[in-house]
Amino acid sequence: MMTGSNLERVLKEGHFAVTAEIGPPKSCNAAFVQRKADLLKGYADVFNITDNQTAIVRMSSIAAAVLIQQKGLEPVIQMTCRDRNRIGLQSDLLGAAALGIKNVLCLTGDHQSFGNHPQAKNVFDLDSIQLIKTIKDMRDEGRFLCGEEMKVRPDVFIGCVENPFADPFEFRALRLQKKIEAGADFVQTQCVLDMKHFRHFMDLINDRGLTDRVAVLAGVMPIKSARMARYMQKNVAGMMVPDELCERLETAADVQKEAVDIVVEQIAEVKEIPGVRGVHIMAVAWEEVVPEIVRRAGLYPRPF
Amino acid sequence: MIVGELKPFTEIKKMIRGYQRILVAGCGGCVTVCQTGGLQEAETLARLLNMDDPGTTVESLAVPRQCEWEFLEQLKTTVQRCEIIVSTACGIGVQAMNEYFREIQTLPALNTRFLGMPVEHGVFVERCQACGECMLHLTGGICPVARCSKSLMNGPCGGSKNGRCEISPEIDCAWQLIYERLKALDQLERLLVLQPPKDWSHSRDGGVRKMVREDLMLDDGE
Amino acid sequence: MGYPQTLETSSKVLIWGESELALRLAVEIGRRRPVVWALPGELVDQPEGVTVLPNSRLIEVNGASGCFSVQIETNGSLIRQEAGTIVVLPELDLDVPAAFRNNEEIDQAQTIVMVVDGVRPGCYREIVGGARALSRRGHRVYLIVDEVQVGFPGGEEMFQEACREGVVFLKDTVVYFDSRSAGCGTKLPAPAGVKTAESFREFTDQTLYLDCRSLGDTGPWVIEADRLWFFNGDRVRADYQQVREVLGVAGVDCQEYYPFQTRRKGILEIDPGWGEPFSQEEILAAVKTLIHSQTGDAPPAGRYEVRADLCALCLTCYRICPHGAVSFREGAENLYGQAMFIDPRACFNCGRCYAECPAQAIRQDSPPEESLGAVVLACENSGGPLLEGRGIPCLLFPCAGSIGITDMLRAWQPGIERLVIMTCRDGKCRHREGGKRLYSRVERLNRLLRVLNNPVHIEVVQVSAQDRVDEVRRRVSGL
Repeated sequence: MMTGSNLERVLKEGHFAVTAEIGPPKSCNAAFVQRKADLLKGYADVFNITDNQTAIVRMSSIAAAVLIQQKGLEPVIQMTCRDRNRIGLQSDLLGAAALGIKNVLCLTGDHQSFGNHPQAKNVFDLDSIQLIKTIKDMRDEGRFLCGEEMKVRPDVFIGCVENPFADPFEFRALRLQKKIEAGADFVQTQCVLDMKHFRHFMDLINDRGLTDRVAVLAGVMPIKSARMARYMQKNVAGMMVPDELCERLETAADVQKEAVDIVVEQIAEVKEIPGVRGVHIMAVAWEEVVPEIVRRAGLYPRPF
Repeated sequence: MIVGELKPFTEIKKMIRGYQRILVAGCGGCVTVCQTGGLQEAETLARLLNMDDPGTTVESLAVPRQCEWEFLEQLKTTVQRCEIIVSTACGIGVQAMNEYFREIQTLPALNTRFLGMPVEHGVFVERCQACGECMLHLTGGICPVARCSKSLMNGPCGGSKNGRCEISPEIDCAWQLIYERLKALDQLERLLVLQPPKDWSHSRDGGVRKMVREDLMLDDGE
Repeated sequence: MGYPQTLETSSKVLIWGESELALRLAVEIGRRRPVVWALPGELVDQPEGVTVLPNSRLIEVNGASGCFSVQIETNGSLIRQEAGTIVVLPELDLDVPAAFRNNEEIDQAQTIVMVVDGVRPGCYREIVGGARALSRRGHRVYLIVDEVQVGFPGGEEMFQEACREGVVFLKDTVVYFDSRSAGCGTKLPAPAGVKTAESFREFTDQTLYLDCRSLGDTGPWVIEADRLWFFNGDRVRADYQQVREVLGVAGVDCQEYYPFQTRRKGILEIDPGWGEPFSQEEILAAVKTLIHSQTGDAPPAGRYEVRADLCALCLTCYRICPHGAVSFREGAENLYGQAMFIDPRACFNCGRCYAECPAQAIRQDSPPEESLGAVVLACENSGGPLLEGRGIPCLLFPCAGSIGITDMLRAWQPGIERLVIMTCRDGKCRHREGGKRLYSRVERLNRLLRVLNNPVHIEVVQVSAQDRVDEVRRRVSGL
């Protein structure tokens, strides 16, 4: 299968893939997205555009994706199950494919209670695994979820996420297996801060032969300040932030430099873990640091 | 049971403003058991309303179930003396009262919260969402529709930590419970089955639900 | 009411024994139940409200829990006494025959089998003592026992001594009582060196069935015994003819003893000679155990009762009763065929169930009279009664925990801005944490009252019955 996705090509050619994340603005400011696109162009194979991340209203993922596409970057649209039912999701996927989008990442979505509209009614008509299967069937079978056929199929490279740091840990590998069976082509993991735990997870999925069936991109995240690290350690569900990491940031002379050093080290480490075929850089609200990370990690220039 | 909760007293006060002869109607069903709308609570509310405005006359009583016409009939003579009814039943009872007593309005004193059970005395937890298509046989007897904050069908999201839901440490992660239960039942393989999208047409999403048991129905004129 | 009237039950408690403990129990139980105290000696202290039978001897106990009929010889005359519960203080002489204890009549060495079933520990001590004496005299003694009980002072030592002296116990567990209250024991494996059922296999190929009552089900054993003695606490259940056959000792000299015992339900044994003197807490715990050992079907006669027709079976009373007096009652005349039931013999009349019943299905048989206009609602054990006749309208309840939200609201009249709930001092409530629930109830009501046009405030004051009247008045008037 070739969807025309750059990420698919890079992985197929055996390169170590790099993906990065771009968060759309909390406004209709196209220039904001374009500026980020200019900044990051060439530093990753594809760029994830988040979908109302943490349930905060932002420019839609598809619209922002088109904006960066116009700038010559290849987007991955993120689709969560929180805000749209199966009608909306399928419709948006058709629209996105019609606009030339080649990659889609399927997520359940953060609960709206975290965002700026906690009064909202959530949808969760499908869960992420069902969404993967739905999109796969649209692509490979040319069928909608209801079974009806479509004339032109959306050719998209399907991604999913997995959090190796959430519970129940033993089930995480099985859950990834379910996502693969549903049709995921690649998986981006929650950012890896606890390397030991991550290796354990990779062992589990390697043992199950899952890494032969899906491209694993390890998530990494530069943490801008020690306070943020401590906050994540305490408050963010499904994240494991080791004490050593917090302490390293707390004692660093130049915190931001230290943060980049850490990420570069992490990339070097995950690169050596069997089954890891790329990294996904989540520089939330700190996208400008991505070029430096990619360069220092020896992953620049990207193969074109 | 249906779990209800008394509305803020000020809200109830506002609703009944201007009325002098008030009936507080309790229900002997679920809301008695969850201690928000039985005879005791109806009397409490009635007395409070009267204390708030001693000019009013407030009566209170309860019927076994406000959601049955025959029991509502028992209220007829009392209702005739009143200008307004405040019901401490669930939303079903309030609507039944409004439908039965056409000339007089029945106001809700409770917020109907959920279908649940007291996991301990005084602690009520949601257990069922009346989705119309029970899948408890697949999930170790723990409902992911009602008890997973995202109603996920194929396992926990990435926010499950230490058995708790990401949205609150007060909430158990339903999928952690399901995982443990299936593990104990030696049925973990169930978790590997890809659950297809749920048919929500049996739920509220399919429109107002109605169930007709023709075998139970009475012939016309009977 | 729809309660089955299968048994005439008695709320009376018969206390049998003579000691400081017996007196204290008589006083403590007497607060809650009619008490008859029978003692072998002369009466020294006359406890208030207790019927005392001095110079008594217990002749016979018949019946079952809730409806015992006891024959007592008192001051030379025989009387029959009904009781729902019997409390035994086992320092009394046992009915074990003197012949057994002295056993001089048995001359040459014999094999003696003793079957001991359902006797109380005090009796057991006597029996083992006798077995030891026999063993010392050269007899071979087997004790087939339902439980090796060592939970009395010196019990364990005595047991081990007996083993050393050659008494063979046939039982594979040893019960150590871990409470002074009867019936609470912990089963532990037999200590090393003790002959158990396993070792019994040396004597017979049969597996020993450990319940003596069921010996007959185990097939033939062969013990060549010269003498067989039964010590049975429950003469109804055992078929000794069959047991004799099973043991292969039919035809030998057999004696049956029915020591006044027993571990029957409804008979509570409290050993006073055990360790340190009893504390007040222990007395209360014992009384509680006593009350709880009571079940049975009785029509409600307590101060509070459940109206089955109103009961929503919400379980509130069942869960919150501090005395465990509430149970399910089958056969109620309502939709469910069951309702909650307050056992009048276990009920301490604290009224907590009444205060919290959401269906108002729990009624007082004598509710407080006219309540309107009372500014003080008081626990009758607190300083409340001190206000009587002092111009402060006060309404008494059996416990402050029994004052429900509706009681508080019913007392209100236009013009009243402050209601006082008078409760006992912290830690003094006789109904565990009764006060605690009152406080949360008052807190909830005050939240509601705060938003009224004419705010009313409810205040809880702690006043002891020992407080001076001035102090009580001062607290009530909020000065």
